[in-house]
Amino acid sequence: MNKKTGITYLQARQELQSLAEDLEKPDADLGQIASKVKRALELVTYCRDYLLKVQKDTETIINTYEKD
Amino acid sequence: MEKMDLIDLQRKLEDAVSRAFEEPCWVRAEINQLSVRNGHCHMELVQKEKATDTLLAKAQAVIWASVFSMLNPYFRTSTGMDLRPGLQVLLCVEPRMHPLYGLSLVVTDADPSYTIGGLELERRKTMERLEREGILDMNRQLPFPAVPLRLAVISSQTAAGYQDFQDHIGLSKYGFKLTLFTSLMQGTDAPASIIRAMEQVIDSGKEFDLLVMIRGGGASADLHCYDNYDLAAHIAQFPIPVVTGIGHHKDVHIADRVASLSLKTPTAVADYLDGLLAAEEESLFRISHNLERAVLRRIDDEKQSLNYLVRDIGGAVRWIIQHHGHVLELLEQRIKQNNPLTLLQKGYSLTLFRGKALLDASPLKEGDRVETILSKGCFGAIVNDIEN
Repeated sequence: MNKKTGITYLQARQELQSLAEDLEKPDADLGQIASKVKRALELVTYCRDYLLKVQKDTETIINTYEKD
Repeated sequence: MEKMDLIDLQRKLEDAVSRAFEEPCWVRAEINQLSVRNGHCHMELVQKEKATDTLLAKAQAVIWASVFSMLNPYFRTSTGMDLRPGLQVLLCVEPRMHPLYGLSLVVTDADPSYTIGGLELERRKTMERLEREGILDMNRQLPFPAVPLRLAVISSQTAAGYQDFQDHIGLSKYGFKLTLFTSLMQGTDAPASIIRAMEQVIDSGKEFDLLVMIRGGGASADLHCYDNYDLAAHIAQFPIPVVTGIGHHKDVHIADRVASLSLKTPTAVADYLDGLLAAEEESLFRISHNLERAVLRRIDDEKQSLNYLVRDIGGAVRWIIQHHGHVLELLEQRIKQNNPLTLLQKGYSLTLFRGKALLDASPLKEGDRVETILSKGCFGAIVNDIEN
């Protein structure tokens, strides 16, 4: 759970998925496009940071255990 | 009829006897009594009927000191025992009649092989009896203790053999505990005395790992007692393993044959027991060393496979993250492609009519209000010129 967005990675990705689908609809509500895109890019950054953190954490853990 | 004095009669008999036996002759007999006085050996020789034990013949015999001092050691060396009552002997004798002492057989030689043969026969019979009774191998079949530390020792206290045994076992680094049960260890009375000592071992109520029966001193002593049936039967049926070291070098006695283990001397017994414990210790060391090695190897193996597992987990995690990253990238691309703001930045603009994108001018009438979104900002406008 992320403190800022208040959602998990999986929730973020699901939201991202539906935002992408919304934006691809031909009759998308243009008035909301800007805010949806903004929201989507925020989620992308969040997910990317999250993955990066997971990768770093696991590498640290694995390096500790791979000794001896 | 001629009348004569006793001395004349005796002299006539003396004469007749010496004429009748000009050569010495070999005689088979059993020694019934024996005594040594002033170095001379006086014996009563008998012959009994085998089946009934009835006395058939009896004669006095003497071995003069000059002969006895040579003959007895020779006899002992050959047979392992002194001339003594109960022995079957083959003697070379010269019958002599003395007017005062009467008829007597003067012994000049003895054939030990005859006695040995007799003893051997007796020994074989004893062995057969033990076997028939099913006790011959009883003691030998007891499991020999791996760590025999508590030793019941039957020996004569003063004998050098016990001292040797104590000294040798004292040198050992292992904590042997000796309990001495004294007994006569040679001669005719030895079997009964040893059996008594064995009973004392049992009656003591102590727990022992082994019964050690030792006797020091020369091999020349009379060890016929160790062929005794009663003693052999007691050893064979003794509840813990018996080890003998009765200090002989040549032949093996029945006592040795029935004992769990038989060694030549008390010292040999001490050394054997010490060696046994050293071997046991050594094998314990080896086992613990092997155990340690096996455990370490096992730990190494486990570590190795854990490392592989960790590496596999690392690989899996990397793969998952890569996969997610890829999914994310595709989503990002889709969103960016559909972002109209990118088009606005290139100079295109978007016009909205009633909140929706205006793609077609036909619904518009003059005076309608539309809204146009630019890359930066937006403005409202009134329609005044329509072309379809």
